Amino acid sequence: MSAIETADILLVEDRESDAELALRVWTRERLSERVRVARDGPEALEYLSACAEANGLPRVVVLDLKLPRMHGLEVLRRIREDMRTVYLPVVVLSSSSEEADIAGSYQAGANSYVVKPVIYDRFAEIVREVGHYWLCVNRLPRPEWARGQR
Amino acid sequence: MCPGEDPYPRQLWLQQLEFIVNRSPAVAFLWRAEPRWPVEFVSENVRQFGYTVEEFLSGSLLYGDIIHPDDLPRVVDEVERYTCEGRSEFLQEYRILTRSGELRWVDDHTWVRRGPDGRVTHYQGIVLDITARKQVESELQRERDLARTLIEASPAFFVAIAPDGRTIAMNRTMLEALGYRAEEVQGTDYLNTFVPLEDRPLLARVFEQLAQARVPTVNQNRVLTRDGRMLWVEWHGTPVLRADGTLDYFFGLGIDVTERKKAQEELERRYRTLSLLNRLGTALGSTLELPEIYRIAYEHVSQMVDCANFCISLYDPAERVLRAGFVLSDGQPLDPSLFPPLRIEEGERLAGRARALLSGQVEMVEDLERARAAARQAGEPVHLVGEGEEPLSAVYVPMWVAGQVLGLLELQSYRRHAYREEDVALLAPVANQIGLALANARLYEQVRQQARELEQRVAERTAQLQAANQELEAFTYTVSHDLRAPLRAVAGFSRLLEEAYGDRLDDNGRHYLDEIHKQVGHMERLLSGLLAFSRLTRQPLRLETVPLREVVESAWQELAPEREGRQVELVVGDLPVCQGDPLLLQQLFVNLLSNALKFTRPREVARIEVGCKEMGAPGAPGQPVFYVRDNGVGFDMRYAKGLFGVFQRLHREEEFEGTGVGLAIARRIVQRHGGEIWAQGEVGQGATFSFTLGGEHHVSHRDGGHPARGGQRE
Repeated sequence: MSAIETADILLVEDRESDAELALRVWTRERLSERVRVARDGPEALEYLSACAEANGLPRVVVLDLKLPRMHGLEVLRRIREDMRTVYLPVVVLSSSSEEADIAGSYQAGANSYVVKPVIYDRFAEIVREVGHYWLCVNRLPRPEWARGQR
Repeated sequence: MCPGEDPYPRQLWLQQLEFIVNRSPAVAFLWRAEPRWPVEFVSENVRQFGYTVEEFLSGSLLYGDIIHPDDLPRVVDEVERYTCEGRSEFLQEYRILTRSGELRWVDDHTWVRRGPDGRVTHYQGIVLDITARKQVESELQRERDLARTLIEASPAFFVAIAPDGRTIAMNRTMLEALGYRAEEVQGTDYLNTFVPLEDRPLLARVFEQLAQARVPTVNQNRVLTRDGRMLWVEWHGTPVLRADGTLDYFFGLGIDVTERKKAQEELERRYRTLSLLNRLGTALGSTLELPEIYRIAYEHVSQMVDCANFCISLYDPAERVLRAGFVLSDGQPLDPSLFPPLRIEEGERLAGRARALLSGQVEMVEDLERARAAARQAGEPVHLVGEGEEPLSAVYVPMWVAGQVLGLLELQSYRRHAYREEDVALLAPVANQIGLALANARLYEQVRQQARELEQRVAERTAQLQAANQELEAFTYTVSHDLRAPLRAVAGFSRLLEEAYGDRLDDNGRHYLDEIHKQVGHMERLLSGLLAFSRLTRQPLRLETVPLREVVESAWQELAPEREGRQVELVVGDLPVCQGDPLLLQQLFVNLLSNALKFTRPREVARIEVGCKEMGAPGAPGQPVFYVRDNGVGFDMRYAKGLFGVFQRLHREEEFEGTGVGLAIARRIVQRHGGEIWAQGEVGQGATFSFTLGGEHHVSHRDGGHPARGGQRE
């Protein structure tokens, strides 16, 4: 198996603009530069699978819902079904403020749901918060858990 | 004792004789055989007639003188005749006149006395006054004549029949009625000549009863006329007995009740007809299904007449064609399409079905075989379906409905002349009833069909509407989402640009970026509004009892940021409790109050009033009407039409910002509660926005009143 570059954050987002803006925030805030971007669900799942086999999973998955090929919720379900990634933190970051999407995401096992604002200031703030929380604040009791091992 | 013998001396004997004779009514005469009969001897008792012996003996009175002049010729004639015949005695009856001129009938027993040469010399005789007897006789005769007159003149039948069954006599009335002459009937065997076969046993029993029980009887039986007709007669029979009690003859008095019987039968027939029509009508009226109607028709008609072949055919006036609708042969249904439609054309040689259809009258075909042969000869099509016997007679009855012939009731039988006038008379109203039922069923089916079509169209339309609605919602939803991402990108990158290169830009450059920023914000607000609006139509209404006063206060709280730094007065009047969705109602007030706040900004002191008044809203009298009034800049009523439209604005962007969706949302909320919203304003004088919340669902005017009834909701 080829060596996988470990990442702190797996960003599942098909829009380049959204991805770039998010990356810039995390870079600027010095939260992380090790961000892996997957353009769709299958790519994300493949990456996670490889991570699980290898050294370690990312600290958090930031998941958009509006993805091509596989809807974000489906991706989330698969992540939760896989025993290796069942405890992996997933934050749904979506432009949708629909109740159905919010409730559905929590039901599928999302750790939190954040609405993507249009106004840049707020967008930047939210992205920063997500990164800050999951990379700095949220310390998992057992490091092995972050690596997907029981 | 003979004369001359002792002991009775002849003198005494003659004296006795004389004495006896003279005391008797018998007058002894001895006449000479000469004209008018001079009397040689007459007994003294001639005095009973008022005459004396001397008158006669003297020759002053001859016997012929006292005979009634009307009878004299006959008497003379009789005497001559009897005499010439050589008779020795004879009897006569004639009238004589007494001395006083009275008339007497006498019975004359005369003996002829002849001389030695045989010539008649004298007549001797006993003349007896039989006047009394004659009177009795003549009265008897009168009675007999009267009886005879009565018998003959009576309109009733009189017949006398001997005990052995032979006819003795009939009165004139009976003879005339039966068509016989008196001499023809005399002596005939009554029972076997005048009584039809079926009634003979009954009458024979009647005779027996009369003979044995010797009491009168009453019975009805038919009698045969000479030409084979039958009359119904009500007989009153009596046995006539002789003086010794033996049966002399049977006497019958008969009343012709043929008419009465006919009338009775007619009534019964009418009753049966009406009964049948009634039953048929009821049965037909119980259904609107074609197969049922056909079945009922067959059931009833087959009880009336022979229906070996039963067919109901329907006429299509557009194509002038008669089509079989229902066919039963020998009780088995046949496929009507086996029978080719009959083209109906006018023409002289119309027959059978065509004639029945076009004339509207019943057609009876008494010999179907002949009709078929004629048709074949004429080259017309003849259709027979199936094997086996061919029908030999038929009747085609048109079904009349609303002045038109709907079709035919066609019946066929394997017998010839199976259908008679009286059957046919009944079939006509029956056919009409069947026709009516068929017409009704057809109408009903049409109506049902139309209803089905209508339902289908409605269902289609509803589905279309629903689909369109869903599309619109999906569209709105998708659009607002899909537009946000690029907008976010524009916002983000323009900010990054500003952050990274802002210090290298001049005022213009920074102004451009500012503009971009502002516009992004505006578009974001538009999209939000659109999204909220779309969400409004999709979410179900959550009905609760909502205290409006609290809702207004809540909304006011929400608008605190907008009120910051301003002098705003809010007056809230009496607001009732009502049924509605609390969140939506709050949104409604937020929008209306926000609107009011916005347009009162130029005022130093903004005054906003929220209240409720009981009055007729347009189209819904007697409802509470809520209002939000402000003292803002108002608007020109001429342009008020578009006030509630999505993205519609009555003021320019630079005067008052806003997406123009707020009022559209307000109207949507009000509509979903079943109410209406409208606005009044005057330029420079402020505006009042009024609304109702549906017809049936508010009640109290004070907070905490009784709960509202439900209402129509979307």
